[in-house]
Amino acid sequence: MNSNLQRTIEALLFVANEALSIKELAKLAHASEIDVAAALQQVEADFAERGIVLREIAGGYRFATAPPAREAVEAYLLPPKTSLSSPALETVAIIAYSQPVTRSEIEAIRGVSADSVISTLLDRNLIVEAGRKDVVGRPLLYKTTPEFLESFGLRSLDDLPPLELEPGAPLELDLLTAGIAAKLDTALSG
Amino acid sequence: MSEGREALATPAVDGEHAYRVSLPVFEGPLDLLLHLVKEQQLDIATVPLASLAEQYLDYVHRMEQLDVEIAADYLVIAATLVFLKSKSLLPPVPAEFLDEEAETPEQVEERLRARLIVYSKFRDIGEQLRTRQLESAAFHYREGADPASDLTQRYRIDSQRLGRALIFALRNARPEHRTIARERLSLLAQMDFIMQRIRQSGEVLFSELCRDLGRESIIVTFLAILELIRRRRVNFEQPEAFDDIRLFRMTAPHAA
Repeated sequence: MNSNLQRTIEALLFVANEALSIKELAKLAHASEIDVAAALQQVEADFAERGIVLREIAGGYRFATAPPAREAVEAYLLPPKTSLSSPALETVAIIAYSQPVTRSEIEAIRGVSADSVISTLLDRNLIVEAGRKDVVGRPLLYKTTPEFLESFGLRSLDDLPPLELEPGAPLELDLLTAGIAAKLDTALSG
Repeated sequence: MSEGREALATPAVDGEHAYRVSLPVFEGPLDLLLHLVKEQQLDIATVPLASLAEQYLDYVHRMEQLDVEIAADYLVIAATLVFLKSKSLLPPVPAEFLDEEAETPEQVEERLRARLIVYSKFRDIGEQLRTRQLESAAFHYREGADPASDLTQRYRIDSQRLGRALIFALRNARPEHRTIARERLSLLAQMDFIMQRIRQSGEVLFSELCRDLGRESIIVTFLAILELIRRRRVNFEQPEAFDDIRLFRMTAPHAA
């Protein structure tokens, strides 16, 4: 074990205010990714019982305070942000699985306006705008941020709970948006 | 109606007709529909949606009684349910009268059911995310990624502190009065003034003209002199560089 590499990695993780990937760490420390991965395992083991722990999150690694110290840490920090409402959670879930996704597609799934929920999620830095969809009106697209992964303790989007739609019932957003309203009209007038 | 929902309620009215109505709050028509399915422990995949029409309309009706503004979204689903209900009560339309383009009631129902299922999946996932977020909240990271919250964290700024600081600063601020007069002197007016002085006393010194004037007015006065000289309205004399400039009438005899 290259303990100097371990020291370097600990120092980098200490100053970073974002998750650092193995790739980034290897580049910064002038080491191979395999060595970095091994060193990270050692860091994790060394810090397992400390006030600071290593977290694998948002596509990389980051030091975090240990949960047993939570109360004292939160007494020092400002009060933690209040948790999200059910509509906000639903909406961020829809965005996470369907990204990039437009407002009207979100609204088609939820059946209600998503204006205020989207601005809450934007304010919280959980989603960002991701260009415009190449359809009539060029609506804005939204996607989730690394902060989303961190906030929900996810290593990556693959870490999301599986969306168990029945076979043969794919998530057809276009069908949901464009289809429903128009076809409902036809059906009702017919 | 359970699930610890928020409830809309009318204020209790005193007197003979005292009553109190409360309604759970739903996050839209699909949320309401899903609630009706779950309340009766029905299977979302098989329940005839038309059977929910009555309860759905009952809820919408109670919202009206409470003067809650009913979003169009609720009414669209209500219309769909009523359509399904009516089709289930009437004998089927003979094939020759069917519009081939139009969806059958079965298709309309399956489409609504598909939406309901997709919605319920995301609702469940939203709840799972809530759990994950609660677990994840036990960990705190060093500095946030957001520079603004960084600052507020680092200096522990909150609105009350800011407010107190402002009040303190205002209370200690000395009132300041400052009058900034703008010198307004036009070139033409100063040319007239200089000519008038020369007419009165035959001659005038640049230093006399500039007495008590500000920097800007001195410049205007000098420009006025240059202009008068250019127009050959005055004669001038300056024995040496940086000496005072003496101005006198063109026609006047040379007094030096």
